[in-house]
Amino acid sequence: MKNFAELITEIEQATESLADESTDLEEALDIYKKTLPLIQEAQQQLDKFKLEIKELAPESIELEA
Amino acid sequence: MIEPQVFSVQAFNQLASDTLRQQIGPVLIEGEVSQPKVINNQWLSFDLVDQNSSLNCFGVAAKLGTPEHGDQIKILAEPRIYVPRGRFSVQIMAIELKGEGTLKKAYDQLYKKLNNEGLFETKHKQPLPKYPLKIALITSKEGAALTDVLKILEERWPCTVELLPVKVQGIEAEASIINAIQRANQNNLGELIILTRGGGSAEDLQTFNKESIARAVFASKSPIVVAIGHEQDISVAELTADQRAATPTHAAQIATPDLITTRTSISESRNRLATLIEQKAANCQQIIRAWLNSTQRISNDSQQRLIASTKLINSLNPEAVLRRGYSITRHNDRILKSGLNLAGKIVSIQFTETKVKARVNEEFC
Repeated sequence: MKNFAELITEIEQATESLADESTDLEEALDIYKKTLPLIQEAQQQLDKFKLEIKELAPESIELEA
Repeated sequence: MIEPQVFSVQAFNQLASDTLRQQIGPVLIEGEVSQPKVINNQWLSFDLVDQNSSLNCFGVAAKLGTPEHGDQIKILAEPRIYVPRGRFSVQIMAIELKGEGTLKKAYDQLYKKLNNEGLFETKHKQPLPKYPLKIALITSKEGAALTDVLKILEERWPCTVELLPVKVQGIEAEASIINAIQRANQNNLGELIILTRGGGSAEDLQTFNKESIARAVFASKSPIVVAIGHEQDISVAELTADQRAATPTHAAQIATPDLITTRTSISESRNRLATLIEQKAANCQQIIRAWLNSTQRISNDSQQRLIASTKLINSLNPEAVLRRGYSITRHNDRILKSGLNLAGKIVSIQFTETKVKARVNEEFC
């Protein structure tokens, strides 16, 4: 399973490939389809991380706004 | 007339010896030592003399030590007749030195001997337990020392006192004290031992200058405080003790902490500890807060980064252009980049929401 850093790197590389004019339509469609689940996975990991931080923070400790 | 019984010489000597011992028993005799010698490294022999008489004495040298010619002594002894020669003598059970000069000389000799053996060295001193709950007290049950020690212990520290009553002076004191020290150790009667007595004359206190007592104190496995009630000429027993005290009262003070001081000290320690814990907790809270804030920032940054990438990806979605009127034409599931050689072939065309199949009639430019 890829971690968040690996996922975001892969997503950003995919974005660069999509923006690249030399990427043909067939390839672009393939990249796009493969990137969507990576975005979903990255968001899930981020949500889980946020929840863990919230659980770790005692009530007496207020986080910066 | 009854005929007198006939004895052999040996039988008569034996009978006379037994009769003397049974009829007279152990007695104390004072006199001056004359011509002491040790025979076969085992038997101490000398004459005990006064102005008018002389008495042959013998005993076990290892137990009694060797008094010197001219020493004034008191002995505990039983009368005997040496059967092979029919010679009258007494068998010594204990010796007590008399006279200040004699006592001082004996003290100096013993001090030198034990000092040379290293018995007074600090390295042999055991530390006393800080908070003893059980103390073995070796002293006379009639002396003021007992009252003094118990009074101080009651005032200072709540602990159990196991009293081992002993003779603290006289001919029986030596065996009595040694036995008590050994018993306290063997039966673990105290976390520490106090051996003490009040003041007295040099002769009264000489028991505590006996080699056997000094060695028993030195051999004690339980830490031992010795306090003999006199300020001058510290006894050898005190020198071999783990700690010496000047008086019985002082011994009790050395052996125990003061309850009030201890309570105050504990209270101060508790307060110091509470302050330290509060400081530590505050530090930890600060560290955790900093870490959480940093983590929160990482989380926010990551979220922003993901949102930005997602937006960009969606804007670059190739299928998005279909909404602007573009379509994708495929033949055999391959996207067509050219319309050449398609006449008569069926192609699929993908619009925004639908796909259609179409036949190519002709090519035209």
